[in-house]
Amino acid sequence: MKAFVALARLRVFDVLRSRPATLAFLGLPVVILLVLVLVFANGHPFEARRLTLVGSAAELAAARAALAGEDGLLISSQANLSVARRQLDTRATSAVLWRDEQGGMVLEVGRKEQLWGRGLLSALPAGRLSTSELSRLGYVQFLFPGLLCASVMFAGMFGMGYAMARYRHNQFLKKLATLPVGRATFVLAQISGRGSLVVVQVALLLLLGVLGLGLRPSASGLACACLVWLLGLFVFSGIGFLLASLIETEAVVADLISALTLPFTLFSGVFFPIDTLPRWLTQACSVLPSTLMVDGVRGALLYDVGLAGVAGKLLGLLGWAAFTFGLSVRLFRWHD
Amino acid sequence: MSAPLVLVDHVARRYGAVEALADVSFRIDAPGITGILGPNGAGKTSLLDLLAGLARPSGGSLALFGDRLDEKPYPRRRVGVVLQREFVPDRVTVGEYAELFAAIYGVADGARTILRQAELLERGQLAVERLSGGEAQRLFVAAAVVHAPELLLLDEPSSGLDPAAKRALGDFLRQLAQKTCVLLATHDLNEAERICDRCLFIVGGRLRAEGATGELLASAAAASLEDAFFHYCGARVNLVGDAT
Repeated sequence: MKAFVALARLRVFDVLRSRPATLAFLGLPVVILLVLVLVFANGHPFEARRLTLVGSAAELAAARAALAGEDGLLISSQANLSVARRQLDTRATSAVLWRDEQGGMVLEVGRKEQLWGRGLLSALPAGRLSTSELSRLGYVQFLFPGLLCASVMFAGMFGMGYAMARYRHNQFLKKLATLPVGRATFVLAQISGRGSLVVVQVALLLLLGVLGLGLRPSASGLACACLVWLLGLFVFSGIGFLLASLIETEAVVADLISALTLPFTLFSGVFFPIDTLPRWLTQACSVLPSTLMVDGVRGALLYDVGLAGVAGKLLGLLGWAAFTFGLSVRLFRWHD
Repeated sequence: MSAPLVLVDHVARRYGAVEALADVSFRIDAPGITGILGPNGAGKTSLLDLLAGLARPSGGSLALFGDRLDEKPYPRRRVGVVLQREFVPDRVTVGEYAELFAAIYGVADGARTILRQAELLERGQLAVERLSGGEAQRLFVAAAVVHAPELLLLDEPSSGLDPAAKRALGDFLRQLAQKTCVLLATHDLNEAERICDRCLFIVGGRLRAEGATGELLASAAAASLEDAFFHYCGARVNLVGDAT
């Protein structure tokens, strides 16, 4: 019995003697609860419907005025009809309102949404309803870029954060400091090594996406997505590096990465568009590196928005990369 | 007169309130093995860390090959280091380990040189963690000298080795010391007496005596280096603990 108590006590103090470990252990469930409250406070995000308007600013304002009484309806605009239709197909939007060649307004919805579409149309001044047969796997296509980005997030944070904490603990970094190899060379080698595995992983998933999910990314879309991935890998490696700079033990780094994964996944538009969240939260989430990456990859792969369409995301990711690596380099201890 | 290979001038090293080294001075002018001897916690590793450029002194100065370490970039390509606890990457073979160091030092055919010097040419496919303690230590030393450094720093290289492996490693180091200045931290006085040309006795962070091994024995009229150590450092030194 004494041995049992001694061993159990040892395990308890293993956590409690480390302040970050205690915070992660006790704080993580609270963080998860908080995240879930923030996301689902107004019901589940799929209850919200979105109308995408292809038209001028005046038409958008008129539509907003006409549909002001529709509770839970989000209205956004899109310049390109084909992109709006792809968004409808992938369930990123519930309906598309556009003007046909004769100048009449057309409300386009999926076949299963006819009833809701008729109700919406009755609130508009004029127009006709058009129904489309949406792709059965459309929502899976919507999820697909998020899945690809999750691989990059994990690879970056675990590949750098956990590995660096482990390398410091087992004295590899101390050994490295005695060798004629630059720290930048080492860090880039770590990112490249892990990145090359991510490339294979992403290529395999893309092949499955094309063969099994009916994805048809253009060459330029693929190139833009790769650019966003690459920068995303740098950013999440930087976040991992930063965690390894702030936390000493690899177990706590792993706990914190797990804790970060949930908000990064839920608040980045992986499962649903983030503008279904409260407005202040939507604005905060839109600058998260995970959101920038998911939006950029989704836009490039699914909607073929081109380099101009992802330029803002690339700039945002570049800023994050500079911030995380800049701070890490200042804070990181290579050895004890 | 050429500059000394190693010049340590009134060096101090503090960790907060703890004084790990105080007013340590010595110089080494020629290749050979110099033993840094003292009990655990005496300051041997702190001194090696300073010489390896892993830490900065709190006072005094160090110079290698005539250049002060606080004035010029550390001469990594002229120094080899074997740490007290060497890192072994998971699931890495002896051959891959040798290739890694050959690549880092940029030595053509360096991997083969490392394996030959460590007498592990036939065991290149074996995982490093499967090597015996003596074999692994030979590999670490061979990897640290693949670039033919002028200075080799070793921290307790024979700790945990059986007598035969210890003797073999000592012979290996003697061979290297013909052209290289080897600085070896150890608390094994018998080993030091067998292989060291010179010795530094450190206790409680202070250098108590230094000189050629034979001279230290003669001046203390000691039959062994252990006797000489106690002669210079006093009977209150516990060899498995800190100085009292």
